[in-house]
Amino acid sequence: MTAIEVAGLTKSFGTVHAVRDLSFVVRRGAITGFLGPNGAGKTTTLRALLGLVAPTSGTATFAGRRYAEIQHPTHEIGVVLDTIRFHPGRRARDHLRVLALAADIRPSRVDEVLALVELTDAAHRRVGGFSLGMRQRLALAAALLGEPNLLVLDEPTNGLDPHGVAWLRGFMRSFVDVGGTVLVSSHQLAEIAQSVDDVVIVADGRSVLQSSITELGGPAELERTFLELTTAAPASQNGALR
Amino acid sequence: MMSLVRAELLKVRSSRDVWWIAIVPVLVSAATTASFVGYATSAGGPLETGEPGIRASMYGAVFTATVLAMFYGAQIVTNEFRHGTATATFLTTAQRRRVIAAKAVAAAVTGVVLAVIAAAVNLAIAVPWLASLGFEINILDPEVGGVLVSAAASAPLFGVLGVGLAALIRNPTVTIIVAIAWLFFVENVLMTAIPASGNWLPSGAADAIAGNRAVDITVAPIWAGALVLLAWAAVTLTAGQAVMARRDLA
Ligand SMILES: Nc1ncnc2c1ncn2[C@@H]1O[C@H](COP(=O)(O)OP(=O)(O)OP(=O)(O)O)[C@@H](O)[C@H]1O
Ligand SMILES: [Mg+2]
Repeated sequence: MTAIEVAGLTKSFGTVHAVRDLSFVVRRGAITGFLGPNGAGKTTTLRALLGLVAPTSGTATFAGRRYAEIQHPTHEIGVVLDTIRFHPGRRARDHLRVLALAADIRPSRVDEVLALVELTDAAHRRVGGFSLGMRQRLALAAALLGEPNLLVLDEPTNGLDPHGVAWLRGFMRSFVDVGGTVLVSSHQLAEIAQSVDDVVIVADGRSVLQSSITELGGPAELERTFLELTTAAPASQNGALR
Repeated sequence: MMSLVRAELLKVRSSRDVWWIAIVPVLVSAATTASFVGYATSAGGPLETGEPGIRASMYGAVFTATVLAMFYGAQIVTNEFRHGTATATFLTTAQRRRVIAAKAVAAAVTGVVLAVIAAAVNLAIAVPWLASLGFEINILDPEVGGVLVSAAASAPLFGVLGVGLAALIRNPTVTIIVAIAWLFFVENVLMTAIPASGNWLPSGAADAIAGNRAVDITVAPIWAGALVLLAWAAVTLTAGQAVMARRDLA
């Protein structure tokens, strides 16, 4: 039932307390929106969940397992983070071939995911010449390589055109319809309100709300709730409007 | 592990850097060969005084292959941080020690390729040059073949050394500066101050493996040189793995 559990997670970088005693769960088979002002600690939480940074205290696990304990993580979990960048001199297809080799994924899958994100025509171009949206599509392709049943997406609509945003919304919905789970962070409240089943709102590194959209009173209520909750706890030290 | 190594080698081949692996060694080898042969054939140089000058003429290949293998090995790690590909790499393989081990194997393979290029360039320049001065070169002569083979033995270990050093430091510029300072400054100072220390340093070990008696110190036997170099590579790599396993990544 629970796909992801964050329990008492705290992460400090020196004197910056990025995440403080944060707890929430992500339901299996649902899309959970992970929301919060700039600097609220969303990306840091996801990095801790994915084993990229070590928590100062607390845990963040996938059905009880830390990311590093999962035998073939990319076969279970697809990840998009904005810190995933590409070698500018490498062709898009080669970037995916490298990842497929390292994860023992069949080579033909590379062209499948390129087609899925509509990058087939750019497959042989070097990534250095890609637009922001094309890079984002490539990042999505990489996340889908291992045919995971869980997606962790940090602002995946960044740089996507309206067509791409709509595609992603449809993709996430059909992904959970067949039993998948999605945790997605975003600033696009209007977009998120239409796409997600549950929301987790953080401010200043703390959880301020965990709820389903239905409990909130429908998508229209999300923005009001968000603004109300996150101005009550201004991200002062982090600078709310960066 | 095999697929991880293949992934690392594909990273090297699929970036434009592959041209540097082909062109730079040819140019550097040509330059070092010229200077080593020039030294061996100079007035009062080894060939004139009856020292093993042929061997000295071949030593440029060892020098080029080991130094470049260390730089390229370091790049296999630092490129991931320079271009931000480390995140994708460590998400795919969360056991960071295994990633670094695979990089070490890829660096060793690169080292062998570099040694082959360096040896070929060295022969292509040194053979006609020495022949024109009346010295016949036979590649089966241990003074010739032995030195070239030693380049192929030392370069992979210098590649591993580069991977370990870069895993400790991560920053591309700092890593290269430390490597250059170590190879061209620290080791020289140490060997000048305490000549016997050369036997315990990586470059001294490479000299020993090459049986390079053109240098002015007592050189350890080949097997001892190999052990010393192996120890340096193993210790640096293990330390690099341990540090990388703990570090926070973006
Ligand atoms: N490596 C680091 N060193 C120091 N401080 C950091 C580091 N990483 C994050 N922080 C700080 O932690 C806080 C939370 O940052 P984080 O990136 O998690 O926020 P976020 O919710 O993802 O913000 P955004 O919506 O802008 O992406 C910020 O104050 C940030 O400056
Ligand atoms: Mg963020």
